[in-house]
Amino acid sequence: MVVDVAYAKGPALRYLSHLELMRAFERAVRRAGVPVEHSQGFNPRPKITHASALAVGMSSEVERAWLVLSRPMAVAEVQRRLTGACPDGLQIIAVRQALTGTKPPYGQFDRAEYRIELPETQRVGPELEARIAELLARREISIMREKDGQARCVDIRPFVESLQATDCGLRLVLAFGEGGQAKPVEVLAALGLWSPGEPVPWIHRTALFAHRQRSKGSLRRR
Amino acid sequence: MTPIPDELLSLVQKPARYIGREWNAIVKDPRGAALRWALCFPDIYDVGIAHLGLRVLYHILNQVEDVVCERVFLPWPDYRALLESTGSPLCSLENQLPLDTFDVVGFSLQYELSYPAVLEMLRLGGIAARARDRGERDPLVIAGGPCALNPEPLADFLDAVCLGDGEDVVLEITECVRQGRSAGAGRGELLRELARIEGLYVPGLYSVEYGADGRVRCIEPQSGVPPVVTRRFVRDLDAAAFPTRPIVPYVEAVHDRVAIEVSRGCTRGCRFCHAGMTYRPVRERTPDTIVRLARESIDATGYDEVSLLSLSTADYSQIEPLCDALLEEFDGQHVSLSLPSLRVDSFSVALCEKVSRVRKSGITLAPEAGTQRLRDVINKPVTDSHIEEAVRAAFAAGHQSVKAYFMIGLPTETEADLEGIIGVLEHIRRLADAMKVRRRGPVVNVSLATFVPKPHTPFQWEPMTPIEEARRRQRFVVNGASPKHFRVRWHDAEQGLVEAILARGDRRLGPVLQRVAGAGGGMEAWSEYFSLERWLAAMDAERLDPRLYAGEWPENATLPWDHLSTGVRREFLLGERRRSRQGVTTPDCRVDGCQGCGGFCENGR
Repeated sequence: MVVDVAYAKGPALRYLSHLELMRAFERAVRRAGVPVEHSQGFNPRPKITHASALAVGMSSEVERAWLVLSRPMAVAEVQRRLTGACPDGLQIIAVRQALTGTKPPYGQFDRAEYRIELPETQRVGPELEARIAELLARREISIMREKDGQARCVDIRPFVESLQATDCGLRLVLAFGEGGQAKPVEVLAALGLWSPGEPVPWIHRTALFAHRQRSKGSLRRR
Repeated sequence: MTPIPDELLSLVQKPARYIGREWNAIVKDPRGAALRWALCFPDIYDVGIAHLGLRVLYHILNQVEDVVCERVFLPWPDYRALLESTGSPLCSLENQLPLDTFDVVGFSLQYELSYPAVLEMLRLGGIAARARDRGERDPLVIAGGPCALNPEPLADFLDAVCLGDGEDVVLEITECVRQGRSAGAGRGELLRELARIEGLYVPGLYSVEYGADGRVRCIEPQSGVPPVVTRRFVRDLDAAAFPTRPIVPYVEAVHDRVAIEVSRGCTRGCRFCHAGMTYRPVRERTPDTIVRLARESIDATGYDEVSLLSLSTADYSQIEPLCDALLEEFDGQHVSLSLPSLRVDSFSVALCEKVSRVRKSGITLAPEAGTQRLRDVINKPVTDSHIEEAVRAAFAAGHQSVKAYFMIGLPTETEADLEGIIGVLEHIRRLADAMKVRRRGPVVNVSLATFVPKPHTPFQWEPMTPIEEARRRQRFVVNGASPKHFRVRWHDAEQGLVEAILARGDRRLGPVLQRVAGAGGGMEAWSEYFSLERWLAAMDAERLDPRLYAGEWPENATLPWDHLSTGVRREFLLGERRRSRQGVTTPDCRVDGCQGCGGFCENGR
């Protein structure tokens, strides 16, 4: 039996890294006594798959985890047990049964929506609107990324789906997939609202979208 | 909420170190509390959160209804810089209370090089460094742990020091302070009351004089104060409190698992070993208690590993029935068992194999010295045939390599002993070849430590090998051990030298610690932040000679810790030192009867 768990990484735990969150989740599952199957080998691991990785500092209300159970348990019971075993900031939203034998459907997610809380001085106003309009009008947004000490230039424009000013800051939709991805802070940097070494505003993931009709290759890096 | 604005946490590495809110953390309302205790660990979260003593005291103190006990760790330099730039104080994790708002601030002293971190935490927490500069409402700063058995370098900064096991003493301190506060006692009066608690040492009530030879001449207690303070110990370990709801950290800790202390103390009598001399007598928990504690802890934490802690786990009197019971208890539940601190023999390897049913762990052997002669000198009861049988058993069980710990710089060590280390390694390699061990990497991972003389041990008078000579000896072993078969790691002797100075230090090192903390920020335990020059410059500025501390001590010298007793008699330590010079070993009293150490044992002479 396989269950698909929808959960939230609340603001209280937003400074956990992905690895730390996965470990906290795994321990909650063990405390809950939800029977999870383990891999074989020298170091057996529980079969838990998370939909996506959230950066340190980011919270989310739309995370998902795929649990392969070693014996059946009613989903309501799984939810009740998990809820009682989770620390503040890790909230179980829903548990659904998935078809046994299928792989997690998380690969179909290809867009995420973010809420970015900007300092009051940067919020709504003609200045912010102008920056957004200018950014969206660009055909290319080149940013520098560092990997293994090597800096390289990447165009993140193809991944910026939409960007709007809201009461508290910004609403941003970013695409991701095999062609690459953009990080929310990179968009903030391109907007001139953040630069490396400055505190990062609170970024909260509000939605994951799947299966959008689109022409192949539209996400390819230029 | 941390004391700094939430967004600023995005600027530090591993911000989850600072957020608290872990599973099983105890967050009480501090407003109604009669007494606030801060338990401080003078190293970063990742190290301190794994410390068992802290876990035990945290739970004992929080069990008292009107006591609030919270944790404080040394911040990494990036977070410290944020505290300073925002003008925020160092705070506890549970309720983010500034350190100076606590009634009692207790430090755990595990490692000499963390002493500057104590001063740094006091400074960041807004507490006056020197005990005598603290006012009536300032916290009482106390310390405990193994290094507290010679706390003299920190004497100026500590109001009181707990010698030995802390389980009972923390409650007695709580009661004493509570009563003193309600009776309106002044600070001086309270310190005198604290000095009446057995095992509690109040350094300010003793004065130290120094002789023309640069050493301590005498240690004088004020009137009415005990001339010798003797270590406390818990006689019935099985009945002692043990937390079964330990805090589960978000950040990966250095030891991230359930740890159950199966026994305390060791009487094997290795002459260099501080723990072996200072935790006597041996006390054990019963297998039933251990299985219950392990079960409750696993259920309450979600950990998947139980580690059995002791100074020598294979010496636990019922180790086989215990392992069987634990294997049965956790059968099919993906909970692995680990046994650190094993002996060098086939029994230990077999035990290790037996318990690694769920996850396989490596085999670690600690012969410490390369020749039988030197192992007799240090009283390490390991023979070449023990090593051979252990290694054979490990390879037969399918291991491709073993880990081996050696020390260089032990008393009487010669080049023959260094060649002996290489000989042991070559012997292990030949065994591996003969047994056709298939391997990709090195057959032995070797760790070379430098001997550091410790107080309260038979080697407390021995010299520390000078740095250049220690390096030469390390190079000798490294060059003699083929990198194709052996990977040798070593600890640089520079940190060892400072460890030796502080371990046998006196109160004149207080200002040295202040200088080092001020210049280096308290990260001396971290090799990338450690600077020997900083220490030597500070000692030079205080006109102190490192050689006086690190060299050989005369047997008739007054030791800076002569007024602090572990129970083990000075004559026993001296006798052991003499026997070491004659190459005479002393057996384990559990096997061969009382050896007369004086370590509080019921059967002792």
